[in-house]
Amino acid sequence: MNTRNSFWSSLLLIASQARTMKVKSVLVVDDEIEILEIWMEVIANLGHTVYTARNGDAAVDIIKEIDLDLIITDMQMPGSDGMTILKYLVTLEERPKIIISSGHIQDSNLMVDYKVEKLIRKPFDLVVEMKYINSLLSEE
Amino acid sequence: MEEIRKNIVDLISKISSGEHISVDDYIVPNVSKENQELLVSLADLNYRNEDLYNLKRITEQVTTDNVNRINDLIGSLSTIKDELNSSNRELENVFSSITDMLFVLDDSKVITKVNSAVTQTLCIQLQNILNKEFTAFIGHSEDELRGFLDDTKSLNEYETIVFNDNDEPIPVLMSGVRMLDNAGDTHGYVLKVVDLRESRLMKEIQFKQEQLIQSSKLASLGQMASGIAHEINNPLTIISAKAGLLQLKIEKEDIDAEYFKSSLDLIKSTTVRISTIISNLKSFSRDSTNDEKCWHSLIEIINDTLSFCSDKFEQNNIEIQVNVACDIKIYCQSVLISQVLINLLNNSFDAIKLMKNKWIKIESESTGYVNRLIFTDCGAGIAIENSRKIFEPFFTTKDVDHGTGLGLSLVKEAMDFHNGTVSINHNIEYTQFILEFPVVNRVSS
Repeated sequence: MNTRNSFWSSLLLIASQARTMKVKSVLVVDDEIEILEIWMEVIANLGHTVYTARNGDAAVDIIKEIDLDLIITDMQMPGSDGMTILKYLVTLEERPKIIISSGHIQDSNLMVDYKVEKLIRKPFDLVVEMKYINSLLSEE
Repeated sequence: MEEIRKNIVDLISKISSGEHISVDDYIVPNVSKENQELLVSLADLNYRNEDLYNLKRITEQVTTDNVNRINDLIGSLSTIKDELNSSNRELENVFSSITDMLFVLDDSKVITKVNSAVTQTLCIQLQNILNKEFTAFIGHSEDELRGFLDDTKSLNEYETIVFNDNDEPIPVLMSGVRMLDNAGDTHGYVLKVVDLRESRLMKEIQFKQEQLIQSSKLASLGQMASGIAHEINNPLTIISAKAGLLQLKIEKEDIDAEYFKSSLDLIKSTTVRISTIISNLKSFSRDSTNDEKCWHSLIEIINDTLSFCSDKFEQNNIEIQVNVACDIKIYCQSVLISQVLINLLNNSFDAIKLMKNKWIKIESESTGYVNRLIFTDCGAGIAIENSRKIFEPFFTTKDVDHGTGLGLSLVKEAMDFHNGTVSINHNIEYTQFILEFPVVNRVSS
């Protein structure tokens, strides 16, 4: 684990102690800035740390740097898409949970092949999905 | 005595030759009274002779005149005969060159003449047609046909079936004229019988083509489908998630008016974004064949089109640069121009998607006579040998899965429809299509 990661872990530790609940790191990937902002607001309200990326490559850069608990990603994005992330994740021994949030998924094997927790179809009910994500992050 | 005799003989020979003789000539000197009387009666005879002479002359004159007149008549008659012959030949040529079947019937509906289309279409020998009764020959419901021929008003067009020599049915359209004599009685018929097989086939082909155009329009839309779904789902997500956030705020009784106002503004502007996409899509996909041409701003058409299809390009890192003058208006069916753009965009997409630095440029250029839309992508151009074929329907160099081979033919068709042209510029290292729209009337705006 590099120094940067240990920096983040210690930061998370402080945060979790402060809130008497374990703070998780969540990466949200979407090319739509308004959608990112909404996720940021919701997940921050749940007391977790949010990172954002607008395409697959940028997401992979963050995954390499940060120990994440959950990734919520869109599939279709300009440049590098969600597959870039899925393909990178399968190379990892320990990997964060992954949720796909997309309106247009053609390949149903994707869920099994890449051990995807859930497919959140766009447009989604934020209240329902927030509860799901909250329970997912409370596991362990 | 000798002299008298000579005078008299002269006189007689003059008279008998019909020469005019004056009364003085009859006074022969030294003639006895009896002889003088004889001479006078001779003179009398001569007068009568003169009448006869005049009569003869007049008769001769009249005869000559008449002969000349008759000769003239004969001359003009032979000219008329020549003219008649040549016009007859002309008529005969017209008659035989008409591709529809023509039947000439006499008043008892016996075929007296047919053109070559009849023998060809019905595969029948001329001698097997002539002098046959038409109704029997054509070989179907005599009553029906009689009704047609006996109709006193006119021989209206009607569709029926005739059989050729091999008993194959041929759909035909029959029409005709009744030939009337001076008394107004029918003395024959001319019937036109049109073989409908070809025109039916043409109609069918035309119908199929129209269907094909409509479905290929939808196909080109289908190629955009994932982009469109994404384009609509994303704003829907913003709306529904933003609404969800507000719901949570209300549950927590965390009601900040400013926050609510800005959230609602975002929801409203996002619905506009969706409705724009949908209305553009709707106008693109519907059947536009009956639309009128109008003046449309070129840049607006381009922006409307890109509103529902640019996403696919963004997803694949294809940069679309639009540099089109705002004042260019073209007289068009905007849906067709939108289709032109979609087809060019799809064409570019397939050609350049695997390249590294991908871009498409849409530019304009105007002269006094023509508005030009220059569509360039980073592709390597189109082979000169394909540059003509590429606009033909079903020509494609792509895989079966990609493209119908209709895209660029539709581009050409749409440009033809607008009296415009589409061409490929080979003098450039990239792929460049040049669309030209005529400046029909400069629009003063």
